[in-house]
Amino acid sequence: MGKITERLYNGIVKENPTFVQMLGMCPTLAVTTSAINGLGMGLTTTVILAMSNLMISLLRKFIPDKVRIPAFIVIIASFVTIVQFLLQAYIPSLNASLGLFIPLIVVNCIILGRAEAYASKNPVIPSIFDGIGMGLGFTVGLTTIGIIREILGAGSVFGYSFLDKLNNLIGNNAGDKVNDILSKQGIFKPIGIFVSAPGAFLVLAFIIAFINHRNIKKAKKNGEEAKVCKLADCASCQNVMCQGKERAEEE
Amino acid sequence: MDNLNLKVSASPHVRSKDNTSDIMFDVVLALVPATAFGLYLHGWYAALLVAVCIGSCVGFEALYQACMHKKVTVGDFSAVVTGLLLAMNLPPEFPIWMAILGSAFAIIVVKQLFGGLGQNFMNPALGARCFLLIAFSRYMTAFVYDGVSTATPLAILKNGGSVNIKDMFLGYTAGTIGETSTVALLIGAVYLLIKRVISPKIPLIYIGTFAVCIAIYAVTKNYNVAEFVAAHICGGGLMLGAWFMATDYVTSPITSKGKVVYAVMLGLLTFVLRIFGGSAEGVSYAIIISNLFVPLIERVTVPKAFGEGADIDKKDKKKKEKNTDEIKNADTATEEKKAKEDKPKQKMNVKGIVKAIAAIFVITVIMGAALGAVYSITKKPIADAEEKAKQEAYAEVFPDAAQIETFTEDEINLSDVNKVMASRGYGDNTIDEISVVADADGMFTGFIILVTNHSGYGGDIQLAVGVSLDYSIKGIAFLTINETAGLGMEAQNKEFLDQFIGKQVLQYSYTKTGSTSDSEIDALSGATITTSAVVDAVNTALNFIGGIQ
Repeated sequence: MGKITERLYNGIVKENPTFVQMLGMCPTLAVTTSAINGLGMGLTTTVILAMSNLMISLLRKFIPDKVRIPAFIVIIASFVTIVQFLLQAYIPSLNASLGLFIPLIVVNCIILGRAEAYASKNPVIPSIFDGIGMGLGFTVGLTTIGIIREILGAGSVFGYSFLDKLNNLIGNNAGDKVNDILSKQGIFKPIGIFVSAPGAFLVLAFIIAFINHRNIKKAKKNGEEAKVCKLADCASCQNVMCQGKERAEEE
Repeated sequence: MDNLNLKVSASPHVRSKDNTSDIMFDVVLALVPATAFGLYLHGWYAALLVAVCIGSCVGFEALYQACMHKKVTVGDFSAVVTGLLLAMNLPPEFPIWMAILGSAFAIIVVKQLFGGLGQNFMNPALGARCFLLIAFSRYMTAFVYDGVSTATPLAILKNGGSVNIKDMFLGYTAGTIGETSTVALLIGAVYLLIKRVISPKIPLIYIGTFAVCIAIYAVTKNYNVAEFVAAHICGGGLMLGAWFMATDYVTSPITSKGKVVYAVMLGLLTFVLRIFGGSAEGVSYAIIISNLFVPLIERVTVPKAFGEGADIDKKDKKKKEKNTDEIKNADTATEEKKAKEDKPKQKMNVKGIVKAIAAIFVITVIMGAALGAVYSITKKPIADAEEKAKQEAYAEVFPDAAQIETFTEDEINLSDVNKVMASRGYGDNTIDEISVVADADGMFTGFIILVTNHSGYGGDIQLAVGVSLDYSIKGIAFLTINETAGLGMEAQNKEFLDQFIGKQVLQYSYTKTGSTSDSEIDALSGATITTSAVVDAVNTALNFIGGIQ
């Protein structure tokens, strides 16, 4: 049981694919124009992740190392198509709103990444939960971004518009000059930039900045070194994945 | 800060007594004439906007610096300049809370998050202006002059109207608070030149390049060259942008050659954006795009110190190249060696290859079988769901239909129909289905046409149009639409679709400046492409029906 909860915690919090690993940025930036789209995309990906992790873990001793990537792709692509059929048949509205992005789940790096990094090396049960954990982490990320973008950019939450209610609340019961100012305000109008592409980058950047800020604070409290780039201190940095290291050494 | 290499030329360097606050104060003084004119023209609400922008810029700077435990540097007037420039770039009737939001974006996102004064990568006031332009395009382009909402001179010019150059020079036109009066802005510019706060290099080359481009364009289009050029130089934000924002120390190149490159780039971009862009304005985008290129421009235009680049240097370089060549050769040599070692192994692995192929084959077969099974199970529900969605849409577009009869492929050859439609200029659309509608008595009352437009912003848009016999539209419903939420998706709103309903029009067009007749549809704000696609699809349906009758 401990292994299962550890996998779930790892996927949702510790190595959250959106905010910590920064994987799957294409769907993250493109589909999160509303909370329901983010949620739908996240859950669809979760289902596919769990199924592909299960299948790949089952076949991990059968798939030769040299052809593992094409084998993974065949499995993932089939599951994506299966899920798309199911959505078309039973939840056509979600299929309509996610549209183009469902086939693109095939090339979502989280799925191939988990197959390569975890499912192909671990037993079946933990692999399934690794997939579910990562998928839920992705769902949390996408839904959070979607909620913020929808509130700011469209003035609604999960499609429920609060704009009229808000504007009615303020009302027009003031004197002459004040009324004149108020009438020019348009009270609260949705900030359109947040549902277009630049808004996705802004929201994602602010959320990641906030999370990093929290992590640094937490690490300081525990007396640990925070895992963030400190620039020009590559020698003592523990991040082996960083591309900047080589460049810094060259210079 | 210590490790930044700020020296681009060889010593000795002159030490100036100027400091940030003196320079910024001079800029504020230079902006006074234009601001005063703007306030005289637009009244107390504009004054309130200016005050709010300056106050909130200074406030946000102090707040951010206090929160981050940094030294509070609002005394250097730079936030005042940002606030004043932002206010001058806003329309006179702009909502206050949006102005505060813009100030927050300018100071916090553009300036402070990138390191504060001297570190911002683009002009904060212009960054905020462009943010507001994308966020609230309707409010940012609503200009009021003399109590009447009008288009700016450049917008009038773009739509083929004529303008009064004298009024434009003096500033008696519609526009943002601080951009209208060329003469007031020039007074401020002369002050800055006398005080040597700015050099005339960037503004003059900028305006010069722009004027030359505009003149050439006017000649090719057979316009009145002198008038067209004068209107473009006096109009819009060019004067404000060229003298006060393109010359910003932080976001313009330090090197002398770099300034020339930067100014030419500004002129060309402004020309391209104004003439070929969607809006009549181009100065703010031109400046922030050029701002982003400044680090690159500086990198290639660093002046050479005396003696640099002589023969000695070249020899050194050659030596270095030779060295790297040798290293490369060594690398390839070891690689080849490795490859040779690997080869015999690979030969042995014929068995491995067969196994790999077999594995892939087995996996493909298993997954293919699973796919087939799911397909056969979901085939019927998918068709049902699609049919149901279509029926619902049809009922919606023709509410009083009792019978809907769809033509089969045998009765009407759709590919022939679409060929004819393409020849009539509706090649972007395909007609997917044609149905006739009858009422309860069996009387033929109209058509429902299912059309797909292929030039939506987010891919295909499929919609059903119900048309009665007198060509008036009964209803429109979308079957497929993947536009941007909050912008293009607003096409599904009742207010937008109601513009089509019940009118006897054979061809619709859309407008961004307010509909004046039945055949004009108000475009969705921020979603012209979607509007155009929907209007085109509706026109296709109408044109097709017009063709049969």
